[in-house]
Amino acid sequence: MIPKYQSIMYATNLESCDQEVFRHALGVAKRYDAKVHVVHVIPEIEASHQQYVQYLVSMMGEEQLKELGENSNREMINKIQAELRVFADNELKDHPEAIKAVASIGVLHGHPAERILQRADEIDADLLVFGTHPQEEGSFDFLGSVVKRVLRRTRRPVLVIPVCT
Amino acid sequence: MLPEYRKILYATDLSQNARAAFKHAVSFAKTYQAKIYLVHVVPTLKLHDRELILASSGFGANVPDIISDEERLKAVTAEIVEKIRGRLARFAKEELGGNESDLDWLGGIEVLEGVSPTEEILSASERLNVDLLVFGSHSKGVLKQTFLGSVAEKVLERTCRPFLVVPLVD
Repeated sequence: MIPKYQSIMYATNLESCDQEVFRHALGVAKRYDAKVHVVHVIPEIEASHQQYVQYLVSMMGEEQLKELGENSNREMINKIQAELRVFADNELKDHPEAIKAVASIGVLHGHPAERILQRADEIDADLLVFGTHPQEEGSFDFLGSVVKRVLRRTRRPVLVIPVCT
Repeated sequence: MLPEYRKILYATDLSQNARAAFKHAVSFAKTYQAKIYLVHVVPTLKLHDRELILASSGFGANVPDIISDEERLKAVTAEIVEKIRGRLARFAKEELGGNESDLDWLGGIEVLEGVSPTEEILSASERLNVDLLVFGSHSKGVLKQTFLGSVAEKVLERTCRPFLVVPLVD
């Protein structure tokens, strides 16, 4: 059986160089007539900041803080949507319809690799698309720790796009 | 512009997980009208490896005794390379489909010899100017973690070309 991709997960860190990665995700989606699920993970609050969160809860009340969180989620989704539109207008002039492959935009909170793996299960992704960013000379973290963790644990094919400058 | 893939380098260590990954390489090739290059690296033999190989298999049976160790080594390596090339050719034919036209997807079979498989794969990707590399990974152990394999991981750390990792699902 020759695999056909139907559900592609594109994990973004919202850096501008990620456009190249998104281009690959959309390109594969267009060729295979697949859906693209965009995911962005906001890392969980570090333990050292927990005390600060407790303080906020005591000051604002849990309800208000939750609302604040939901608002910032919405803002983040709006921001990604706006960026995708700009990207489609500027970069996809020859294939403006390709952007329609985007089926969902998810902003998640927590441990990035965990959330990405979980989201991949939810949408039953048959291809994950990630970017990696070369860092300073001599750095050993070329791959990025999140991508490494996901590669180590997923049973799904992963397309890695190095964004080399 | 959306990216196109025209040349795909499929790196195989001849294992089962590499076999699973090939199906994905074929999928990309057929979808993008691309060519697949099968690449396998035979590690450079050292003299004592040769003795082992001679002792455990029929390799080198036709190599006359009168030539030097260097030449014997070369002859044995050439034999191994040819054998693997034949095996990869059969594998490609099997996997691509029975029809002659299915072999159009095959760009070439490269059995390379080198000290470092990572270096050989990287330089083959440059030389062939591929726009996608495909590797298999496999899961093992109680934790069922997937292991990329040290060669794949090293290549991935150094290449600037798109890279598809296909875990073997058992």
